[in-house]
Amino acid sequence: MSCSINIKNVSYDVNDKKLFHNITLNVAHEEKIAIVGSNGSGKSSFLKIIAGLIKPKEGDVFLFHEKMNSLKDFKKYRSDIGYLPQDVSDHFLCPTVIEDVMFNLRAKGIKKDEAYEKACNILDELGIKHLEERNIYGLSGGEQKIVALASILITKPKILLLDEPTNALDEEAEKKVVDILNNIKKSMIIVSHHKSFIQSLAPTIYSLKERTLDRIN
Amino acid sequence: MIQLSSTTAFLSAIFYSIFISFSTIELLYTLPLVYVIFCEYKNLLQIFKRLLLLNVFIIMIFIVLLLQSSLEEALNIYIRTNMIILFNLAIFFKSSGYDIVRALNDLRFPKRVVSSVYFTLKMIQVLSDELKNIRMTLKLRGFKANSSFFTYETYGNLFGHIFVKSIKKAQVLEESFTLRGFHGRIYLINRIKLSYYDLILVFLICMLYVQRFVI
Repeated sequence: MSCSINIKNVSYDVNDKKLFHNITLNVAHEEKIAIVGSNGSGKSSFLKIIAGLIKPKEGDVFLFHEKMNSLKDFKKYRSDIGYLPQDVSDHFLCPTVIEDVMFNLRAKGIKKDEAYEKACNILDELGIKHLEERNIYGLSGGEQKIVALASILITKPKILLLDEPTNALDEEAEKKVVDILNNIKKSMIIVSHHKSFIQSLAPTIYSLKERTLDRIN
Repeated sequence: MIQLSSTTAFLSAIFYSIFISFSTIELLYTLPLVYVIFCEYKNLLQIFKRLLLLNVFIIMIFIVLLLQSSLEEALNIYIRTNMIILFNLAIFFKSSGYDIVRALNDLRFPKRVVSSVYFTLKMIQVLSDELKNIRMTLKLRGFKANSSFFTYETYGNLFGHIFVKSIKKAQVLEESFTLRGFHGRIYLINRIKLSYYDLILVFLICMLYVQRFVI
């Protein structure tokens, strides 16, 4: 199954205010694209539409060439889509790092020992094995982002949707997150208003401005 | 550092509190209390500070009881309440609320109960952090509470803000449930590791029950 996202003529409004109109975008297998735009331009809503969290007002979303007619249709591809929210503290569902990273696998019915081993491996790969036993809410912002990434990557998703992945991180933490993301070979849509960071990650950059999406490089 | 397991702490707190609630005080009953205080001897000052703060309310109950019944009964209830609170303060002093979740999980409580308690605690933490931020903002912006209309209006706005925030947080949490395949349970790693300290506490509490009901 070749991985691709096709967005066709998608529009979305909030409280009768049009956020974006008639947007079309195609993301090919392992392609990394970035979307920049000012606050309130609808970047996060656009990602949520692709993740199947909200329904567009108009237009169609295709995942792996299959049309998503309703939010229920996304269920089939849930583990193929990794979504990193802007505030990662909302993403966590368990008290400790290892338990949270294991969660998606356990929820899929994978046995505890196997899930534990896989979680340890991914923590090791991302260089945060030492945080394994720590309480998630006691971690720094940068550490929380990497833990959230680990919990997404453990299910080996084919698409990554990252909403402001370096938001509120210091330079060192940002560099670490960028390095990790650069080493991931997956289809990726990164949303940010941080152009310098985006340029080092995604070769294709779009701007969401005045309700339309335009390629800017 | 002496660390009691969360399951032992949870069960001990329940059984000791019940025992003290329905007993007339004897010196022997202070043994588990002395023991947990010993386990937390490094934080004694902070524990007693918290107890002192709570005593503001306990003293009110004491006064009401004193007026309604005898000094003996008022004193008995005053001491028992303090013993229960001190025991719980000492035993849960180092605990994050999540230890209770872990204890419920270890004790094989229904999965939905465990996850409900966990998400309730998570929400309490989020909202208390929010309240702390708001208090700091008020301080930084030079707000001084007094009995003016402005103060009440400000407090009204803040409670409204927290209310809206909690609804938004709940919506985002629901999104996380959808994205991460949550279906009613969280998965915790079972970590019951009983140490000698746990066994001593269990023994002391069992001893109280045996002394009361068997001997």
